[in-house]
Amino acid sequence: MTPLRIGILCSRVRVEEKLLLQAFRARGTEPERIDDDEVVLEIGRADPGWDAVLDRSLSQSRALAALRVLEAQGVTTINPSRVVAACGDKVATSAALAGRGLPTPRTLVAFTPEAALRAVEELGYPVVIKPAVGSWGRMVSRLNDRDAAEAVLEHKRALGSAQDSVFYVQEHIDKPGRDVRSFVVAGETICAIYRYAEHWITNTARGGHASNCPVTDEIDRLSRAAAEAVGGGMVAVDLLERGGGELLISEVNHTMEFRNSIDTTGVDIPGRIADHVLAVARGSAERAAS
Amino acid sequence: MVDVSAVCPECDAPVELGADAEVGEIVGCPECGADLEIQALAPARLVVAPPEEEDWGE
Repeated sequence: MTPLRIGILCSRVRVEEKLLLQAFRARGTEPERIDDDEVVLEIGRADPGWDAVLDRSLSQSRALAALRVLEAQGVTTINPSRVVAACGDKVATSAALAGRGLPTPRTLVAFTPEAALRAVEELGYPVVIKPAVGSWGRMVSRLNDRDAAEAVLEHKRALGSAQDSVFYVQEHIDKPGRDVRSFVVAGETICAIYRYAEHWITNTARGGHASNCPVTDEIDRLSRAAAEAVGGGMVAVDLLERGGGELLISEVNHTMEFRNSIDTTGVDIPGRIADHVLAVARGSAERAAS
Repeated sequence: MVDVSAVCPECDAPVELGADAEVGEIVGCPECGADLEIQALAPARLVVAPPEEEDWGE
């Protein structure tokens, strides 16, 4: 059997990418790095020979563009560009989740500061406003009153880019000092963590800390449904608990970070990812050979 | 492979890289705390890692 050719799209090797490289090597495959700082891709060129390419790019715009070109070349990608497009833009994510009837915080979209202020007042204070594109809790604002709302909206108008004129306004969920992040690989919810923080933003990238969260039937059901809604991806799903135990899907992340979740859950997340990528690659190699 | 040593481009301090270091890996300078990217190994060369950009994330 010819060895599988796996590409990894990334420029920076963080803890996650290092663990993934080690996981592939432990399974007898040396992945080829596709450095998005260096690579030049030709649109429409014949299949460059990878059995699968795993996207681990830090940059969503680069990932989306590179995956589209690779897919047009016939390369099997994980995640596919449709998943990156659905996860990378919160309007697209919310629309995809709502399209499946999945529970999410109530969300309004407006395109001018004046209309956004009406959206804010419609939902009532406190309210959350997020950039449609962005991660790690950057520029996510909780507005407690009209003064704060007017200030943030005016700053976005004056200092923002065209992208900032898409105002994503969301109901604030009074969560119990924590949220839930679950990991879906190969259509299975492999583990979950609680993320705790003093601050209302609970991203571990922002200093929140993690503990194991047992995967309940409801967490499993919502996580798999969220992954399915964004196009069948390998994703990390953020869930918010509302009083009474109701779970709402807040975000779906297509390039999951997991350094704080391996020891916490006891699940070998990079190993599971490598196994999945290799299985997908094997499938695409067999299809090509037949 | 043995551990390799490089120099921080920000403060000139020696930075030890483990035997499992990867090109493209981000390491911190133990002296000044700068985020550094391993640009090459054998010989090891470090550059200051690029600042976070707006579309970076997971």
